[in-house]
Amino acid sequence: MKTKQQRYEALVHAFHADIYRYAVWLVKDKSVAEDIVQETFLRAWKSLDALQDEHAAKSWLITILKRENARRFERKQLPMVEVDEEFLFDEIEPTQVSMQQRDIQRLLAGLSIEYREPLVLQLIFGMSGDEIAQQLDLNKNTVMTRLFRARNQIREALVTQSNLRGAKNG
Amino acid sequence: MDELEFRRRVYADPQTTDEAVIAAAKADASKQAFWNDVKSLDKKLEKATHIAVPTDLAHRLIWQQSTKLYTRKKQKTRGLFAVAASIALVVGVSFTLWSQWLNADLQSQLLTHVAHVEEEISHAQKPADLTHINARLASFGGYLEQGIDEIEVANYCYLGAAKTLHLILKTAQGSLSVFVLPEHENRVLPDQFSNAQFKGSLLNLSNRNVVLVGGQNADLSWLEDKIEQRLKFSA
Repeated sequence: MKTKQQRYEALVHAFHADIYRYAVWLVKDKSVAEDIVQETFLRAWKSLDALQDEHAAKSWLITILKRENARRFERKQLPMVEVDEEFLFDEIEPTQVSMQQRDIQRLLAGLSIEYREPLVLQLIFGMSGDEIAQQLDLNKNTVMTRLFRARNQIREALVTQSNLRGAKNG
Repeated sequence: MDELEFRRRVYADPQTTDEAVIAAAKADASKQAFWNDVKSLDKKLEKATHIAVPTDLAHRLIWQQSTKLYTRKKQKTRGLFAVAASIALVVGVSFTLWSQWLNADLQSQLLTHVAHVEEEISHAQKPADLTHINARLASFGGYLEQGIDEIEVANYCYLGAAKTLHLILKTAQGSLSVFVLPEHENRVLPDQFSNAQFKGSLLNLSNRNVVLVGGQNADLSWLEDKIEQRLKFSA
């Protein structure tokens, strides 16, 4: 039988990357995201015995992370403000990320939270509409509408941008 | 499926396997083109979400957990150790006090005890007749051949660890006490002793110790004689 420690380590290895990415897209700040991820896994360790179904681990961790994120605002008594979008990608080496890639990241970060969150769940965790609906406690139609609007906004913005650039260059 | 509905479904889930969407795309090249476009956008989006994860994050998560666990265990052990130490201390101190009390100076215990003799009389069963006294003396291996009229109370009293028989006599000189000490009482007692209020004397009857205590001015000699004559111990 696996010890609790082994289960925990397996959980960390399996999910830390996606959980971290999700946190970054949620809070749009890498160091804050890292703090939240650490809190999340500490809490996960404490209640690891409650996790019976390993298949539920992903959504369980996401739930813990969202709670930890909310707690952060309670602690600091900050209003829920969206952080400036320029925040995140300055550190990424430009050679790694194409100009368009960077535009897409900006646009994704620029989406309001209710559009960004379901989209990120779908993109990072490959969740279905039903799964997202369950995770966010929304009905599926709402989720599908938000996903549609999120992609629509990004695509239209990209089209506008490339038209603008094209116009400038031309 | 109309254009809007098609777009809605494709945007909501570019990887959809919805038959109606597939059929619509097959039937209409422009819809298929739109879908391909969205799919390629989605690849870029997926790539965009793929932020570099700090390389040591997993190790740090495991590390922070094990250090927390370790400190908590250590605190727990420390706590337990502290509790154990406190218990040991309390037990040690109480035992010391207890054994000190048990082995405290017999002389002072006697003198302190008789200071409360009036209270003892008021609680005791009175009067103590000869049968009653002898019944109690029996556990000390002794008996009174003849009663002593003045004996009012016969009580077992503990002086430290020693169970004694305390006889209280009501006399014109006030209350007098006779203590029959147990056979194995090792504490040394002088033949004569006193404090500001009381005085006592030790009698040795067939290797058994009997102590008489009375007020500072009381005459104990007549009582000594009576006890020596009447109190007998079987070997």
